[in-house]
Amino acid sequence: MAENVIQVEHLSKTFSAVASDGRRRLLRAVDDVSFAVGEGETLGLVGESGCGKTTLGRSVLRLTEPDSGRILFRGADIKKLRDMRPMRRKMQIIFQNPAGSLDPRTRVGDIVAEGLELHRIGANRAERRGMVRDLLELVGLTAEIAGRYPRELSGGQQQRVGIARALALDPEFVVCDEAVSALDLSYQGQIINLLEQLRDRRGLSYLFISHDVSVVRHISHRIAVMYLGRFVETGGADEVAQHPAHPYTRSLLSAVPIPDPELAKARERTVIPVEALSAPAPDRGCRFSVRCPSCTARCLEAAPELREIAPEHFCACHLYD
Amino acid sequence: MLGYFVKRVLLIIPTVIVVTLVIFLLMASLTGTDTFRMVTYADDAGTGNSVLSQFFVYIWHVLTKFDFGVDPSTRRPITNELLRHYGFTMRMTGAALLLTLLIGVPAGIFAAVRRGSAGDRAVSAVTMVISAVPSFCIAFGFVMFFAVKLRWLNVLMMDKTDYIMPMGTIVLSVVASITRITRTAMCEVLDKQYVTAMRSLGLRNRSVVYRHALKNALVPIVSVISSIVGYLICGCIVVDRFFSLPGLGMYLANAIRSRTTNTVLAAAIFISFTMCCVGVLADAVYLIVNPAMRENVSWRSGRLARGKEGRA
Amino acid sequence: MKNEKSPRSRAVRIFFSDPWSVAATAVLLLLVLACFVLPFFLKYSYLDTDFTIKLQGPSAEHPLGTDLLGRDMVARLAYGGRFTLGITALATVIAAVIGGVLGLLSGYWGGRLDFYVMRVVDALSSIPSLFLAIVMECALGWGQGNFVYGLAIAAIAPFAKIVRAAALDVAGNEYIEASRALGASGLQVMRRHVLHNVLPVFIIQIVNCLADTLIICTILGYMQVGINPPTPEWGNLFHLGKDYIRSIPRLTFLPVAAIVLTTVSLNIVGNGLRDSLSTTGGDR
Repeated sequence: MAENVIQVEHLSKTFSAVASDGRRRLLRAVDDVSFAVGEGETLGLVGESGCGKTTLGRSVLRLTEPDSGRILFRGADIKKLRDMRPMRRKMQIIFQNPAGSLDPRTRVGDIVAEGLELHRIGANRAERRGMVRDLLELVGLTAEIAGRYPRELSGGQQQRVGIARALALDPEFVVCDEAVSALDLSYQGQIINLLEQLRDRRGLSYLFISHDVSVVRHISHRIAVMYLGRFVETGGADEVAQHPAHPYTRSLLSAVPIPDPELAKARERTVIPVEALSAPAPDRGCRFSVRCPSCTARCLEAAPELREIAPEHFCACHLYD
Repeated sequence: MLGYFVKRVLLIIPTVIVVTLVIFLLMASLTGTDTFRMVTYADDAGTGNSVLSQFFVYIWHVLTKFDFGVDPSTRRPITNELLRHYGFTMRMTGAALLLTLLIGVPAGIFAAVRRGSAGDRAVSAVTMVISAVPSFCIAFGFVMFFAVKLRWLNVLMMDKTDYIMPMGTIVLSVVASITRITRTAMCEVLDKQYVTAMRSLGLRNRSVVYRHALKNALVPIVSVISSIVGYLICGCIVVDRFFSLPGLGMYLANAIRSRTTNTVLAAAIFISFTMCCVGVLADAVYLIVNPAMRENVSWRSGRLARGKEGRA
Repeated sequence: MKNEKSPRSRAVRIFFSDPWSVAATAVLLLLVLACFVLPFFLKYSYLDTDFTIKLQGPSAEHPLGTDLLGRDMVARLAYGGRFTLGITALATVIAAVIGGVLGLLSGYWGGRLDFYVMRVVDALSSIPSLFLAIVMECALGWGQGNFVYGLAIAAIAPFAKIVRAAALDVAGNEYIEASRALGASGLQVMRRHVLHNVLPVFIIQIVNCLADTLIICTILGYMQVGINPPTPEWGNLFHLGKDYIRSIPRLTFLPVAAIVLTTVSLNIVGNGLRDSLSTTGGDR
């Protein structure tokens, strides 16, 4: 059995922030999360804004230092490493905001070449320029774009530059943090196709983070649903999409429009009342209990654990105990 | 919210102490610390000690006996004289602040409402030129024009009307700033979509402008008031020299010439104290003008993050 | 082939497309030439007194007349300009370097350094700059050498605050994180991404500081704090001619004109730079 490219065990990250009224609040952005991503596999991470998925993505790369847990890259614990630089060549990230992730005062060619320069790849400038040209072609851009500035490119082109930059170091694992969410729909499809192509050609593993369920379902082999810092459901992409177990997953999926009007009418909708949305999460019991339509007394007392409810399909909900 | 103000008021004294310390240390490091004596006292306290102990002696005298030391040449305590001059300058500053706001804010609104028109551009050009002229030049211009050419006003400060020129000078040197900020703030607010929404609802333009837009535009103005007061004080000092008024300017000029560090340091403390109080008052006005912030502010909050200060 | 639309060339193009900016820059260049180069060609020094020709009007020998001690006004103005502008520029450079470095480190590293530096900067800026300069002058005493430091200290606080704000603004962007993700160290990120994005704000602040410091310098000269006659300085010249305001306005008018001209030009250039250096907003 091939070892997992990335294995994360019991990762936690807590932020403490001072609100404007002066009180100190603890925010458990990532709370005891474990998962693994195999070679060539894409794990999709879904959840609404603020559920901690961005923090999780950055913690795996140690861009944000996690508080506790283990991160194994091909079996080696990287959380303890003092110098992450060599690992940076194996693990990269693509950001959400195409314009914001590119330095407006640097030419595209230099942006893509930055990784090469930092790690002294390529014998001289000319060789690096050649590598940049190849990378740009790889992501579907022409070589002359290297002389342009990010301002002159469209959103889709900017995102491609971001992808080229990430791939320059030839990583094995890439975190795609809402990589298509900020793009127009027409560009979204293109970029997703590009990401799939690159994955197949180079055997990349992805952690694909998004709040858009349909996109995640399309590109992922497995899906993890995150709510307020915890995984509430994980399983194969099709399995979770067709047989969602957790009430939260159900509500996410029922919000996705179905083109066929007959099927749309026939589907069971799970609607969460609006008033419930602004209530704070409780300290005890299931964190979703405030918004859950199927909430019982037991849900208020004890937080459910992830249990296998079907082959390779896990869910954290008292409905399935 | 009350807790916030209590905290701010309580912090005034410690802040002034810190400022005094910074100035003290700066002055000490620039003059050399071996033959160093910052402050002279009637009883010659603190002579010959190290810089820090001199500082503590000084603070002690100030806080407990309100004694700022004596003038080394005359051996007279400077506290009373300083207070007199300081009071005069503060009165001028207050009056000037009022005038500046009364002139500057309407001018800014005028320019903003007629944005792009000849009137607006005229106002902008005038404010730019005025703000480039140092105050004594303005004073000079006034004297040349009103006293010499037109012979309307006197330079001798005999009665109330003679204050027109000094006040005019101070106000002019600062009003450009207020006008610019008001104009920028009003323009930004008028551009906002909710203004268009109100207009489309049928509210009369005038009521929209004056009641709703102005309230929101006041916010950056209030946040700038502290630095405006600072400039006004400086303007008063300069004008004192020019027109021979009994304010801080004259007093300081003499002190500087005779190198009395006492006076200068004491004046610095007074001004720093004034600025802190102005800051707290400005915060109070800010919270009145911006009710949205009232909930968020408590005993623990830091200083209110207001808009960009200085140049608009 | 590299495309020439770099931010720098764009800024230059926008700046010089505005006639006011061009005119102001030309005026400033002329002033600098007049004050720093012209004196080498002048016949009279600013010190040559000749009581026989005092308070004369403009003549072939003295194009701008003489002052109350018979000194050539052209020389007084030119050397005065050298002093005023030179001191202002020097003080600005000192303040820019110290304030800029402090602000950059504060904004980028944050933490305790930021906290302490900002407390001191806040303390300094709670006192109006003119007054702070006066206080520093008093401490430093007479002598041209020290005059500069007083002005510089009064100018450090705005630099630190503005550069810090710009650094914080830049540091919050994702491209900084991207650089770290690629493996860049803190220093490398600063060199590659922070510096050239903070530079525009820094340059604008330099121009503003020049204008503000110039005014403070002339006011201090007028109040005769730190500058002795016979050293000419535009504020100083004004003070000397003040007694003759009614009879010979020329003595006061000339330095005032010089000051106003310089300051207005600096302001125009500052506005032009602000317009031309605004980065990411759409294409112009």
